Amino acid sequence: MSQMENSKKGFVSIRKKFFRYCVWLVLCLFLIICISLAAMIYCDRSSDRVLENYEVFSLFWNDLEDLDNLLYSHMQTPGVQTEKGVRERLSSLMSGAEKLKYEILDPRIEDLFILTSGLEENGTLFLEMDAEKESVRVDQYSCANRYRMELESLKRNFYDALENYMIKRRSRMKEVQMMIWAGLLAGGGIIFAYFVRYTGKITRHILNPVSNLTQQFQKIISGNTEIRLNYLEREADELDILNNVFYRMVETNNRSMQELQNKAELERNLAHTQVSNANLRARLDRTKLRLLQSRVSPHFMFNTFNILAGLAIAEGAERTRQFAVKTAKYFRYSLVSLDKTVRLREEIENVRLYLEIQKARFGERLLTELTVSEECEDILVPAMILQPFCENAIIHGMGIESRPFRIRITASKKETMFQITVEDDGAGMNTERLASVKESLLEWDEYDDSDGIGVKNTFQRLQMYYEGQARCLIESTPGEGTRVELWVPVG
Amino acid sequence: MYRKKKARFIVTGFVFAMLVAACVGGLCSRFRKNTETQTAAEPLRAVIFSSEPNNGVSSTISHVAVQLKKELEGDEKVYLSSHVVELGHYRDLEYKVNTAIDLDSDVLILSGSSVRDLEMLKKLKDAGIRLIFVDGDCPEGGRDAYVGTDNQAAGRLAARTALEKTGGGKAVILSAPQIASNKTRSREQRREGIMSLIAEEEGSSIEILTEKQCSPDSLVTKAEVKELLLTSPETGILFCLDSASGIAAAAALKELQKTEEVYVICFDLPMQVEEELTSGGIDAAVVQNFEECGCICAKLLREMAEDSEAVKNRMETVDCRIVTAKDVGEPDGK
Repeated sequence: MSQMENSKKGFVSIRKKFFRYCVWLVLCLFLIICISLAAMIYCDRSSDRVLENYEVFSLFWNDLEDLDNLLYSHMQTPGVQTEKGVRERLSSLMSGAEKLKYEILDPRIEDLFILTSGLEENGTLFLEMDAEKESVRVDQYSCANRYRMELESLKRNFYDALENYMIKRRSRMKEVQMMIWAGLLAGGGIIFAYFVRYTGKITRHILNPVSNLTQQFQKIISGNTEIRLNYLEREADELDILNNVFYRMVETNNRSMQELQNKAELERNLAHTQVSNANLRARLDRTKLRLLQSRVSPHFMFNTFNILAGLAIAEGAERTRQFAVKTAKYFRYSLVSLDKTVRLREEIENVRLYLEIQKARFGERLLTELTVSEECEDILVPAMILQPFCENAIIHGMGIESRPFRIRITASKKETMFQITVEDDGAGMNTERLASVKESLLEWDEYDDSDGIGVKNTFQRLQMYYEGQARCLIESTPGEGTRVELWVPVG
Repeated sequence: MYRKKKARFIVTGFVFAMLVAACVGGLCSRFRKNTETQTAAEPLRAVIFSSEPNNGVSSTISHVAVQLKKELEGDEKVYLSSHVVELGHYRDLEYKVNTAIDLDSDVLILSGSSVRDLEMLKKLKDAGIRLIFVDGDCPEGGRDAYVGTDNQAAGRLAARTALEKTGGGKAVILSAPQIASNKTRSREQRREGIMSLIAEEEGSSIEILTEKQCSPDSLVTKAEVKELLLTSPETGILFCLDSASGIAAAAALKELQKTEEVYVICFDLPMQVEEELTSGGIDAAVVQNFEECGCICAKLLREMAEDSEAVKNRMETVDCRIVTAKDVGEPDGK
């Protein structure tokens, strides 16, 4: 909630951003226009004032010239008309001088004003003089005229002052114009730079997210699901919201897909396990069936050998009796314990019986050696796991040669495994044969209906018993013998 | 982030506000300046009359007026009215006095050499107008201050320069006719200066053959100088105590084609003297330092604006300098 509030706090919609941008732009333009207008008005007014002063100045001298004539006329023949004219001129001169004094700050224009004031004062006095007092009038006229003449004599100085004023005014106007232009240029430059930066920023702010989202959409369309989730911490505007919503959507989609994949995998594994179980069960059934079938023959053989032993006793054939007894024992073991687990020493005892039976056939040529370490004697192993290897050694390794044939069986513990070895010094196998045997050991033929207690069958029983942890290593050298190592886990 | 933006917004607003304030403030200050100037306290009003610099009379006052104008331009305590008038008016002391009175001036700056009528000066005093003399003193005129050359020192400078340039010789002293007593006095002082230096320099080879006062008519003066040079052909130096006699001497020498033989030195630097310096008619002129003169005068006026009695009976002398042909052509006749 707090995060949402924080996120909302900094949120400024794009519309609002554009609105602000436009407001600033309009304000700046308005400011520039106002300054330009003010500058134009100032310059216009300055020009107007200069022209106006020039006009006033020109009128002043015209009035002064008129006044000379009017004063003289009034001096010669006083009359209402001339008096009125003189008064008008005096008044005009005075207002002109006053105006010039306040407009043109020059001591000489101040002189103009003072002399005009004197002229006005004396001129008015002259007008107010009694026409009868000729000499006083003349004096007053002279006095007023002196002021007028002084003004005339200094005229060029007043013109100089006016010219000086105009030059100054013009240079000041130029100065002000320059200042305003410089200010406008600087201000305009700053505003322009600001808006270029701001426009770039706002454009980037809009275009970058849109471009990014477009690329991500294209990736999704092209089947690429590995999209880097780029969440924004703060959603500043609608585009940021859109960005986060998009990534949230992608994330949800990815999660759903992952869940679906996991489910499918599980289902597949389950189906596989079920099939395997069914196969194993079928195989077990078949093995049991085969075992039951194979028991028929040992029973018959066991009974037969017991009968044979009885006959041997009756006939006094001791060796035959012993042979028959051993053979009967062997068959009884194989009959009773084939589908069971036995202690290793029982298995070793059974192999010894089998080898003694074989010795009865091959005599002294067959040499046997059985060495089992004490710690291995009590381990549980499937029954009949050694006899097939001994039988194979005799059948394939002994050959027809008359040289002694040695079979050695050892059992010992090696760290976490027990090692049971059956080795002979018989004919051995060539490379192809050895490879073929190894390959047949690795093949798991669920429907193998070959004889029940062969080498392959034995190894498969070991694998089933030890849940795939049993190992069988076969080494063979032609003419030197074969060595089979069975490795089964401790416990 | 949000705070940063807010801060940026405030800073931008502040910059804009400052810009507007600067523009408005700039405009307002200009208007206020005008208003303030108009309502300033009453200044000291001084007036100086000068004539055109090329109408034959000494232009010292014109140069001083120009310098004074420069110095007091825009001064709010001293208002200087520098009026250039026709020669007739310039020479008319009554006109200048009456105008100064009518202009309600506080101070009139006059050339002391032009004073002929002390009564007019009294009229000024009655009107409460104080006087500052430049280019020639007239202590009896009741002036407040004098700013100008020590004419005796100027004469000594002229004699020393002539001695250095020529190594000595026969010399003649020329002077223009008497117009006013003050001019006579200043010329006399210059002469005294020349004579004193010659006397001081033991074994000096300058020997004054004669002293001659020329005619007011320049043509007559020229003829007189020609005659003098013909009767005294050994003359090697001409001391002209004013510009008018110098110009006449130069014309005479040109006609006699003796400009190379005679060393002419005069006083003051009107346009004609400048021309003669350029053409070789006159070799050197002893000139007041107008700039310094104007500066001192402006200083005195400022002091008067502060205290009307501050410059009472003040006398400020300014050193002279020698101007030759190579100096002419530079600004202000240097």
